Amino acid sequence: MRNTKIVHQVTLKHMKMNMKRTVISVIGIALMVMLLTTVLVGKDTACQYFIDLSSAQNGAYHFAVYDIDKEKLSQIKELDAVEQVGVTEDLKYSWFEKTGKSDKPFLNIRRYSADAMKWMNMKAVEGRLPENANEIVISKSAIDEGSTIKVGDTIEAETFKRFMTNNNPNGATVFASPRFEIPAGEKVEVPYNMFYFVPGTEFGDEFYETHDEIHENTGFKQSYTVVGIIERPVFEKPGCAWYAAVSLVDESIIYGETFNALLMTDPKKVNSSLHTQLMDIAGDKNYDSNGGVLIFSGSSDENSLNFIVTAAQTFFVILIALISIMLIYNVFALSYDERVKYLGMLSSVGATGRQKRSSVYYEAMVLLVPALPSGILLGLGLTKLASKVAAPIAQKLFFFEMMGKLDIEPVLKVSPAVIAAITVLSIATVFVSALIPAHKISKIGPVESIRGNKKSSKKHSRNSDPDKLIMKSSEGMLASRFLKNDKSKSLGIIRAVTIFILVTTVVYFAASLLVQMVGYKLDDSGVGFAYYNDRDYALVHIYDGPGRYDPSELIEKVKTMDGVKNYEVCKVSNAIFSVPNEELSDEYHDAFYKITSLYYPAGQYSREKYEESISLSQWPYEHIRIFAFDNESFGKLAKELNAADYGTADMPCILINDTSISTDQYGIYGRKARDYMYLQIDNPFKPAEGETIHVKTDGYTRKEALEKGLDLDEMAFPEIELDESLGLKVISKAKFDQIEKYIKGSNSSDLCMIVPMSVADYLDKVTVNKMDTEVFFDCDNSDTVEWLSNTAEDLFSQGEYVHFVPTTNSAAGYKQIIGYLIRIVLIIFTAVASAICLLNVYSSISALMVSRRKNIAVLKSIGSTFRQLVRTGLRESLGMLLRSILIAAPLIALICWWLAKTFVSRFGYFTVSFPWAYAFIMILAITVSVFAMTVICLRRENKIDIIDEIKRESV
Amino acid sequence: MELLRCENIGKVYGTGEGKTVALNDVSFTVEKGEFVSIVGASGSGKSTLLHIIGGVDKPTSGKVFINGTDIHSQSEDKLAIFRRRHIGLVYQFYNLLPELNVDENIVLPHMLDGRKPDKERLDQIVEYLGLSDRRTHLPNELSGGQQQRASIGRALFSKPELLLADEPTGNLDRKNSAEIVELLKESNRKFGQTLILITHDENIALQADRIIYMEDGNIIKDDRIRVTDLQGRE
Repeated sequence: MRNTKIVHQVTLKHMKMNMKRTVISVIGIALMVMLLTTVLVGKDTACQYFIDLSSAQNGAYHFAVYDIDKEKLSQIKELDAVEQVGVTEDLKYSWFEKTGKSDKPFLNIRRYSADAMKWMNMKAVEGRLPENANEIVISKSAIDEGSTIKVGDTIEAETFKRFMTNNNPNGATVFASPRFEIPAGEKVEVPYNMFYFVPGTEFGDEFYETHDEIHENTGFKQSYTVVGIIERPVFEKPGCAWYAAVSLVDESIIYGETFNALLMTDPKKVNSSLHTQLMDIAGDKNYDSNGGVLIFSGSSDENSLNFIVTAAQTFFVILIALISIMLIYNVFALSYDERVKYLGMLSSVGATGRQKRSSVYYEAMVLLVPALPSGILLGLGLTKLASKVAAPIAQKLFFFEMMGKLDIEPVLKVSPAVIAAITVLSIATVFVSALIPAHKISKIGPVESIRGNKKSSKKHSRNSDPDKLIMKSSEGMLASRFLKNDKSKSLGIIRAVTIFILVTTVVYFAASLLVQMVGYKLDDSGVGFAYYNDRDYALVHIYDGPGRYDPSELIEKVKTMDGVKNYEVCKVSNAIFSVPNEELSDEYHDAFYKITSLYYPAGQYSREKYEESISLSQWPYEHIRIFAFDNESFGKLAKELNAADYGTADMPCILINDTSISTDQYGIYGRKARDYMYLQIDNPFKPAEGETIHVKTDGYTRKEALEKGLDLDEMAFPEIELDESLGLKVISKAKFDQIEKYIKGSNSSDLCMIVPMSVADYLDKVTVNKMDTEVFFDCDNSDTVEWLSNTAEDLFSQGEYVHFVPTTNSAAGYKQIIGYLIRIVLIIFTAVASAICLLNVYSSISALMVSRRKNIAVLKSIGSTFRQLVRTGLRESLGMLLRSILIAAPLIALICWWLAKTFVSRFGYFTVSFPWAYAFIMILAITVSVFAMTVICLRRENKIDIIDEIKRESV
Repeated sequence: MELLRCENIGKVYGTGEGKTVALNDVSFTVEKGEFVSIVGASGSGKSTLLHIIGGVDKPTSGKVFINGTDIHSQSEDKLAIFRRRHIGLVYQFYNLLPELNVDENIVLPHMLDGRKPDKERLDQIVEYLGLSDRRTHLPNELSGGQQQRASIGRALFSKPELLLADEPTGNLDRKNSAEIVELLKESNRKFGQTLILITHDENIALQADRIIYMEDGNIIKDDRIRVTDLQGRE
């Protein structure tokens, strides 16, 4: 260390003398560290925020299973992916003597294990949470509504189930919300959110004339001490007849035979088979997954976005490192001449190559000392700021607004591991940048150093033709000579501009691939189609067999409700119609073959085998999804598509000439695909416009059932029985992007067609199963929204497949969020990367102009005006810009080609288009910036004292 | 006929205690075609005076008239244009642009004036300067003497009326010095250009028509060393 002390001292002096450049270098490195921090901490913070939002709404658990017994619980615990299990038990109701509201006379006593309490975000706003089975906490809503209950009170709980009887022999009593029906003369257990008729009130007395509320003891009896007050838990609805009271439980003291469980899983092990296993154990209606938490924990399932998020993160980190290396390298390269001189002095008095090298590393370290901590702090600040700005938009995307704004602030998630990673990456980046300059400097001998003659004595090519000289202007001649004969100086700028164009364009291209990939992945992971996606809400009824709930009345009612606008009814079939394999195109079969072959060892699944399996198939059809729009909308669509035969065709249909297949969508039982592949199919159908496509309905006709010897009494048959497939006339073929006003379903794996409602009505008659109905509308009335939300929830809780959803509150919403996240990262990244690159460009231009100071003085002394200096500078800049573009263009082409190739080979078909407009804008931006910087630097240099410069020894 | 008139030129650097008077009320005139040497010790103000005359430095007080034009009353750009049309400057350290070859350096002021260089004149000048075989060479491929010739070529090409040389031989050996002075004298004689030359070398100074001696920013002596029929030269 002593040997290098003097070198370091001189280096430090050199840095102090060049304070401006040193400061710019520190800023550049700090920005690099800031970017690294923003990308790494930002991703963790954003994911944590979305987890917090999701868990605030639904809890932090990953899966919930209901009505399981201890044996099922043991089976669940044995599942590989399940890491922790929390149990919950609903002990039903107990009278609440200290209630402040007569229509809320009960406590709903639930017991949660400590983990489950934590996962359900239960927090004591007063006192504490229960620590044993004799302690209980009460919902704050009870206090807010006038209850005198307080911490320390005792509650004697004797729980019961609530039933209601209908003593009126004339008919059933039907409640709209919660949706609940008591048939005449029957006794029915009330839904958990059923309100209470207060005796002695007008409504109560009227109700109790013909009804009774009956309480049946569960046998559970317990004396509780109130130890705390908690925020209203998510399961307590405002309109119900009780307040939540929560106690502690563990598996050993479960009271009932069945209970519920909340599961936390290992994100890496969550896959589709876990869903199947849980469904098998608990039953499909007794199982639920917490989508938002799962997705943002990176554990949604095989189709998780984890890969994309990690890939994006890695991509950005590598890119930041590369930009930084180029920036810092440029700084060292720019100071090369000066360094050569002062190190030459040292070299002449005995400094070794190692000592000279150490001067560069020392400078790198000195630059890092202030840049690293300030960069980390700036990065944390930027992440905090960005998360604050993005939080309300993210909440809106999540559609938490409907539930009221959540008072959740994004919290920076900074782990020591991430800080360590940032530090290591930054140090590595800076030292890698210094490697080449350090190596070069150590090779310079004392004589060359002192003379500053670091270049070889290579002769310059010269313009020897005086005629050519005559053709030129002075500015043109100077610019071309500076460019040609002073390459080392202009190289810094060319490098900096090249990096700017390269980085901004490649980042944009890669991000658009990533966003596209997010789209594919989420569409791929079973997201439904979004029709009329511009509407605010969708009311969906999924047909579940004959004799079940008929939604027509509700659907009609929606149309007339307050605030409902732009109402559209659609029908959609779900795996109830098929088209024959022979009416599917070769392209479709090629893609199918490619995907299938991935499930076999390479080269073992031939096309012949595939053809054979198709011909031998028991079911030589592929399912087709049929969308139906009302006749008027269908007519409009047909017209937009220039479908000639619409109006004359008997059974018209529009085929959607767009589908896809991937290893996520198609699997072979017991086999695992060798790799992921996604293939877009541009023309899946054989029949052309004007031809007929055949649609096979599912289920057997009476004739087929007879042939197969099936029991006719146990079977349901369609209203109209077809002996053959139904022929529909193809009036047009369209791509999803042509019909996106109606349906957004690009990258869907389904074969799709659109028919008018008249055809759909007929189709509903030829099949046992009916099409699902979906109603889309805008609504600005919160009461209507709440009523629909409650009604749908009630119907769903009764086993009817009715959903009321905001159109953004779906997996498509998550896609938006992820896409939005990537875009936010992209904008921040591009902005900061551009700032770093522009700093780089500025310091290069500034260094060039400083090195030209003498030339400028000479030019001024022989009569050059400032305007001529500017014109020369701009021409030279233009030359450098053109060179940068020439260098950047093939590099961009190469990197984009490689990125596209990687994406295509990893994910299959990809629509890759180069962002020409963006690249053009970026080139324009950098051109304007370079010109502006050139003028600024020239203006600065124009103020120099000519005498001082021309007196300085040169050449 | 008077070409240059300096009226009470003063130049002060710094203020207060650090104030340095470089020129103190200097006045003199130079006739057209005259060859004037300015001599003096280092720091006597001769270079400052030359730079003020050449328009590359500004006086603190006083005026410089060239052909009756008060050059320092002009804007920066106008002065630059004036300089390239009327003044040729030769410096001790040549001050050629290292990126331009000999030809290009020579024609540069002419081209800066927006004029196309005359090929014949360029050939003549290059021939005259003895740089015919170095025309396409860059300055760093030339000897000191050749570089100074090129810089004289640059000063001569536009046929300026006033040639200012600031110790043009200060960096050269005896042989090269003699050749350079001869070139300057020749251009003074042949093209009738007024030459003001700063030198430390008494022998060179003695070759001029007139010697101005300077000390501490003042002209202490103005010697016309030989009678010359200036009218006859024209």
